[in-house]
Amino acid sequence: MVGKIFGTMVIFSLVSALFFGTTADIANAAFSGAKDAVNLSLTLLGVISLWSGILNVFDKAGVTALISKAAKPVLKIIYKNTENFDNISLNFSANLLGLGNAALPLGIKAAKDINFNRLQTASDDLIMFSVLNTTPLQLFPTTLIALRSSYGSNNPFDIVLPIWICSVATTVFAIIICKAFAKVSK
Amino acid sequence: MDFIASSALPVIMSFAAVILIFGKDYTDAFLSGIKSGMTTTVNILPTLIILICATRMLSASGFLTWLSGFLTPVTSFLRVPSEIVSIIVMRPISGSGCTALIDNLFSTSGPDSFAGKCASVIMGSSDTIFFTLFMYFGAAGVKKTRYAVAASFLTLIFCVAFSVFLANIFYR
Repeated sequence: MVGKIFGTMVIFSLVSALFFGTTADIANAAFSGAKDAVNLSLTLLGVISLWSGILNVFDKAGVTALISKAAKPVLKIIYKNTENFDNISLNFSANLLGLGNAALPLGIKAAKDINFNRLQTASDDLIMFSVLNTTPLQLFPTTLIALRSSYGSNNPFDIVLPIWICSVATTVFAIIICKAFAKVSK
Repeated sequence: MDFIASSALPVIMSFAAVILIFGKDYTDAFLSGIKSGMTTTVNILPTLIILICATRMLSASGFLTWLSGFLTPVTSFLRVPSEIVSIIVMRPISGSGCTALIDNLFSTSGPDSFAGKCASVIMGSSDTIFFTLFMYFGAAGVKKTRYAVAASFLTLIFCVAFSVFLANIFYR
């Protein structure tokens, strides 16, 4: 998938660049993009490492198992063929609290857990997990609120209620659509 | 709420600190966790380079601007403010690109304008599709992703439509 999406994006850029006369711009963009990716990964290196350390302490001290046990009844309905909910439930909690940098390494671990037998084809559960992560439920959209107040919003918080309603509706929609796709593709 | 949101991290860290001080010796677990975090970051770097490269090229080529213009008749029919079409087009592709566009929208139309609030709701209830799918499927070692891309795009379309609908109810 990665190769195909990358290929498609590059072809689209190339054709539009020839059409709009921006070939020099896309050449620069390719190199600055590669450089920015490395810069970003340096930032992530610190934050992700710190989170992974803290979370491993929670794992070993049994905190993870408690959270996982509490979330299991609900998650069992969404994920039919998964047994280990440790990282899935922690990833969900991190998203909920708006801790995106903690949610990423947890999500990666959860994806490995779901595909524990290393299948080359994505299972229904893995697709469900990934799609649900493209519409995370978030209690505090902190970045957005900060951005709104920095531009002098009268009430930076008045977007919170519609965001909650919309995220819940979108999550329900995502679950239904994934289940429907899973049924049809069987 | 700002206080609660900003306390999440310190509270979790002090909880870990309590475990480290009063529990058994978890130093090894702490350090090996940090080390595994480093490995994770190194492992996602190749995907990150590919993705950011392609995203930047797409933005620089003018394709996204063209696509926004192309979609305007459809979106104006759905009562989507024309200022936020470019943000919707950017949403599945790049999170940082999206933040830059929102920043620009807030400075031109203001965060309390209808477009500003509409964009905020969309931004707050969705996430970057390609980044998420690349990271998780890459880590799981999956090659065939079946209906994942289709399902996430349908979800995003629903999210945008519902956000605009809610914004019309709340802010008109």
